[in-house]
Amino acid sequence: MASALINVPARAKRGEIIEIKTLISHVMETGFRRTQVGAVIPRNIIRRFVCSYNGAEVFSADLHPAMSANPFIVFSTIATESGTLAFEWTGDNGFSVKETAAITVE
Amino acid sequence: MIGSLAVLLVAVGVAPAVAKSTTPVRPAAKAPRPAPAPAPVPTLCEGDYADSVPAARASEILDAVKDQFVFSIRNIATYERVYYGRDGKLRRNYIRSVVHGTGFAYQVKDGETLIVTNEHVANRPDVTDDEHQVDGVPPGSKKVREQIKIVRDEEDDYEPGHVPLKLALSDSAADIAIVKARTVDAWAIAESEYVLEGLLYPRDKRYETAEAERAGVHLVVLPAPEPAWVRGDRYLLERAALNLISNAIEASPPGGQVSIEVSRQDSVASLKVTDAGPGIAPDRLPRIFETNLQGGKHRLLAGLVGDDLVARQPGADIHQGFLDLDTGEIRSAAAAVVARAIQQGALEAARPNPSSGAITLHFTLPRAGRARVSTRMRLADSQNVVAVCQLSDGSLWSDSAAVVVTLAACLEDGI
Repeated sequence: MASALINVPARAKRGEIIEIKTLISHVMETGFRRTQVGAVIPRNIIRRFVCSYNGAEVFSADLHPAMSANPFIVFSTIATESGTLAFEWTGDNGFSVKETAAITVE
Repeated sequence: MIGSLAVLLVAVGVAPAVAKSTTPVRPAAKAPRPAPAPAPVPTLCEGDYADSVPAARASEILDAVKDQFVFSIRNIATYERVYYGRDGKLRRNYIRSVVHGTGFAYQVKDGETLIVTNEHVANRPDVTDDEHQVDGVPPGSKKVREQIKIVRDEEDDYEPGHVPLKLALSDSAADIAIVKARTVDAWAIAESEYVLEGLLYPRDKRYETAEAERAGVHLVVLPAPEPAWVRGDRYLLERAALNLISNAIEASPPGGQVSIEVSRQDSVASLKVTDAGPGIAPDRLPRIFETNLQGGKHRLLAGLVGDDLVARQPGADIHQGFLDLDTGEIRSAAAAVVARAIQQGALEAARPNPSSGAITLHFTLPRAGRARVSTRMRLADSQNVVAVCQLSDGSLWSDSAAVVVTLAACLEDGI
């Protein structure tokens, strides 16, 4: 089971730009590598990452095989109101991981 | 626009959709048409000397062969400059130098094509000094990397389509070098996945629109109800679409209208250009399927080129399709670029290695706060990392950074 690390400030001032760090454990197999006997290792990557803030999408990314293993993405958003940040990674072989983080806006 | 119907089919099994077109189109054949026989290349008579050949005859020979065997050569050299910084520490700076030249393929030997070019293009100085200067590179810099390859032209930056070359020998005194390519005419199919309407943008806002305004022609774009994803060689299809539109504008009377309609039916997506042109002159009809280019370079110029709507058969071959043309007593003309329609993401698994894209980021305004992101990617080799950004007003911004990879690793940087 993939594990995700999320770094979101617990508190922020209204209108403040906050930085969000995400890291998820995933092999990100490119599909171009081969085994020692020459068989192609099937592609297995995360294709999409979406971050929603109280249900509204604030950031998303489409990932391709060139991304490193354990995709690490740092982005920012504006703290508008207290609530929940939802993170979702989806990919090959039905991969899907959802995480949430709470934030309090003062 | 030529008073005719021209359909560039880039996939087999697309005939039904062509037949359903609102414009009368002759049903396309099911199998690709064989390429027209190449025009015989005139040869010098045995014993002729170059200076004894009449100029017209020499020009004829040169014209016949130059498109077949002449290639654009690009050399990318990376120089390392070592210097002491203000803090007294040793620092290294890497400088990229790009030159272009022309190469002439003269022999195929053991499966390799030998190409003659200039020494100053194929072999850059190992160390720069007063005698061996390189533009933009300070004297005393050392060459740490050099890539020679065939490109379409100086603007071509689609790396998967490039053909790597290897230096065989060089002569600095004569400024001649021989480079080798393992395969010249077996270009990897530069397939990519994109929305067919993307062929128009931002071109319709720049080139075609400006051209239409100059000609006093009204340009109408009718997008598909839903994005028409296709796969194929974007370069070729873009060239084909551009020429169709240009032809249509050129042939339309002032005040006329040229419409570009993008549609998708089942497995076929098409970009149809319709105008009210006067029709094609009978004396030009035989040239419609004229194949001017043969040999290894044909892919570079495939597509519909020039106002003669010249069908480059090799371009159709690449897409396992063919070109079809129907000339009838019609005043309005229509031509279409037809491509295989696919589901978004269907080509992802079959992307070439290396892929042209690493990550696509979507900032939702105004909630994103700051258009800044950090991530990590794999770089297997030294290359230019390019960031392209489309702003909310549709304009584009781009920046790049040359990265020298000594050992394959992950790159972490804010783009």
